[in-house]
Amino acid sequence: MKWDRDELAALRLAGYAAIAAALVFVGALVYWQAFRDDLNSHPANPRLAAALAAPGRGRILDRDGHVLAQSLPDGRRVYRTAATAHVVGYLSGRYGAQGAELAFNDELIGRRGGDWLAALRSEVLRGAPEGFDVRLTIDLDVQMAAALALGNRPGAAVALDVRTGDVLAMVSWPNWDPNAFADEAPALLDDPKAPLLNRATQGLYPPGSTFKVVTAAAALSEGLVTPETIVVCDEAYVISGYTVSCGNVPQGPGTYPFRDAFAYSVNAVFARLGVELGWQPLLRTARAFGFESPIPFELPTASSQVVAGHSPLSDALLASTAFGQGELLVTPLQMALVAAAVANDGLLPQPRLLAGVYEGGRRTEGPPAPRARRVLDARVAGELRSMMADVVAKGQANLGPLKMPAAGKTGTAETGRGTAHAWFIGFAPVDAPKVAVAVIVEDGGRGGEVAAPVAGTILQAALVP
Amino acid sequence: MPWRSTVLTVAPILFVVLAWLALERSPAGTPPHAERLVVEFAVSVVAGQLLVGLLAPEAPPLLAVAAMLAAVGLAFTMRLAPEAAPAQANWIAAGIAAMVAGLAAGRQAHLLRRWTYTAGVLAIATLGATALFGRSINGARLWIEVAGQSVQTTELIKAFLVVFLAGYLSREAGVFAQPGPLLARWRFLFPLLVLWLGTLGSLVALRDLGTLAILAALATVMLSLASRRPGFLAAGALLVAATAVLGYTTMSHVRTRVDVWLHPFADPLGAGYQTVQATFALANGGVTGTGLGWGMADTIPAAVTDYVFVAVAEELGLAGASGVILAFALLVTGGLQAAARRPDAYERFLAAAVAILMGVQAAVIIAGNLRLVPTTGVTLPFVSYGGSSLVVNFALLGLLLGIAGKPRG
Repeated sequence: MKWDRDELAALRLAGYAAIAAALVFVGALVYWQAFRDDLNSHPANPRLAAALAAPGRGRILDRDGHVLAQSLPDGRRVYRTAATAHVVGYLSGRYGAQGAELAFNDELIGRRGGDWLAALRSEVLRGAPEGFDVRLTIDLDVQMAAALALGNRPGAAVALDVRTGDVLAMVSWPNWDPNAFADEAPALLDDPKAPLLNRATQGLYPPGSTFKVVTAAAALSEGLVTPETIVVCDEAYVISGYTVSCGNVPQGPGTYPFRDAFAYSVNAVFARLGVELGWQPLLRTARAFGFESPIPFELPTASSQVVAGHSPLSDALLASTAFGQGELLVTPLQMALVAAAVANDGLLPQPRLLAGVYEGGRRTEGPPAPRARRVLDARVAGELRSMMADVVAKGQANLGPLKMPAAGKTGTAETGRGTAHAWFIGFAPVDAPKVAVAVIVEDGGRGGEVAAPVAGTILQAALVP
Repeated sequence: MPWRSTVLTVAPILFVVLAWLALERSPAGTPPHAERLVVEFAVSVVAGQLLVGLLAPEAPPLLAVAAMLAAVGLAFTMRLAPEAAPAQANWIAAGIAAMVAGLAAGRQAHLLRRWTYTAGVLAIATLGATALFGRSINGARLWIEVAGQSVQTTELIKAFLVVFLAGYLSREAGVFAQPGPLLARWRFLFPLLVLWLGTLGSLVALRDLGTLAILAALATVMLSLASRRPGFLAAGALLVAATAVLGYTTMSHVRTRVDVWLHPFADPLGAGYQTVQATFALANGGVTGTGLGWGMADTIPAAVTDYVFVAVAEELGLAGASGVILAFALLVTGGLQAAARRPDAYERFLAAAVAILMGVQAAVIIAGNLRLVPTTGVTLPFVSYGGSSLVVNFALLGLLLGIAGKPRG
């Protein structure tokens, strides 16, 4: 049989098919090896546990260089304090991972964050990789003050730099002893109080009256009221059969400016304001503050909810949402951001935890550039600041040891079990705000008496050296 | 030796030497007397190259490509299963001996042609024997004890099938190529049908669907090549799809494999464990890899046989794994090119069948490793740990080189 041109063409086609297959395989390799970095931090990845046990793992420092976590020569990881348990986190082959240990694992094992010199050295020499030190935005003094002030009460506290979004303190209680994590983990996992949950970023609570800041922001932005608008609240506001009280005001029901209704947290005024405002402006403002989607942050965050997805948007629900109950569920970080945006002239900062990556004493990577998004007019933010200053000035919040004028909003959020969560969100100093805080004490009672002193202690530690 | 042959001979040896030195300095370490393995490998490769230069001077330098793959295989056997590394070095030596035998057979291809139907019968007989007397190692794979050695018979069947297909198709190619309905020529299709059904039945009995896929793909490609009817490719693809659906609906272990392929993280510590660990290893590799001995591919069950490509991807990175893919592409295209140069139809088909078999086998396992298709427990030619696979693939390579190295005319 002689050569056949068709057969040669078929053989050539087979060759092209082989080359095409090879290109597809290289493409798949590129996908897995260049674009799936996320898998390296997957909690089920045994490389994570190995990374924790490597003696060369980098240290975790606070913003001033205090060591929060470091590895001993035998690979054992030691931690400074339980006060930073949730922020620093843990890394375990068996029990998963969270916190900075997980979020910055690539930097801590030296895979990311070095400069070109370090990259070249590790590329050529290989060998056991030396990790980099990771500096957090946490200020150990503020963190310890926050942990001490919260004490052994379930709850959380967050303190933010209002301009940069630096997380100065983030505590959650119950916490755990990080140096005994491996032994205690099974009990911690089974504990109904969920000690492993970072309540600051992932705890969801009804916000109570602290949400009135959002309602007021929407109403002021829409031009529905000004702080001086006279409101009338004689007995109660009745909506769809529900009665909302005019209580709280010392001089009794009657006629007063809107700023007093805010300061004394009159539910009926906000219920009516919410209904006049309508769902859309309220939802729009809440979403601008970050509700309804996870907050972009180095640690995982839960989405704060205004209403449950399936709920009909009724007027009764709108009224109760406007004064902070309804179906609202928020994270302390979200509420701290609300306070920070008001403090920062209406610019909502993006929170950040990374202050820099260091090799030896040399900084190889800085913090992510500060980012902020305008959510309110500077004018509205100014009005809200003066109204929040009234809350403190009129004695509604006991800020404990704080020795400077501050502003804020209290919350006493009904839990539905006959108790109330104590809330306070605020910032200081009033004239040139630097630090915003959010504090929740679960089932703590009145916000102004229980949560506000914790916030005052944190602000004092953050602002007075 | 001219400088090009020298470079091609030295490259795989240099790779093994470097791998040995790298492993010595890594946490993985080396097996005892690793230097002996390096010397054994070097001697085997040099001897193989010299004999190919002597017996088939015209042949393309495909042994160098195969030797490079074997070097990667030996390095990763030292890395992942150090206790098995001496055996792997011995099998490479045996493989190169088998290659020389195959080379002699390839030079006398017209004699081999007489064995066409014997090879077909042997293929079915081996399958039947394995189904009856075979012993299961690692689940679905079946092996037979021959003189104290476990032989993976599916590897032998591949070789028999190559010989049968080349002989049969070169004889009947004219019939298939004629225009008109094929059914009128059922007489010519009949032996093929018998062989196909026998293979299919036995393999389903053996539960080795990876090999089934490879053989089906080989037969289909060869048939469409012989008939120049692309319809065969479509029919083959349809057949494979139908078999896959049938396997999925009737065989629980096939269903598990497919489910694991689609959702490995549904059960990351159970059924999905191997796939999940392989995925982590791939991602960990990055562009230049962790370095030999610095990865954690040993967490993947059966890494050295079924997932050696992933281990390469983790420790040598995108660069190293792309190199392995490139080597197979060279092997296949080089083999096909050598086939196309032969004036004799039988030799052409035989050489092409060898090249296509190697390509298909590598493609099935690499695609499975990269999660483009469900995993099948087949070996990566020349790289995976295992004697039967190495010897048979080297023998087939010898056949190809023998044909390609023959003076024309």
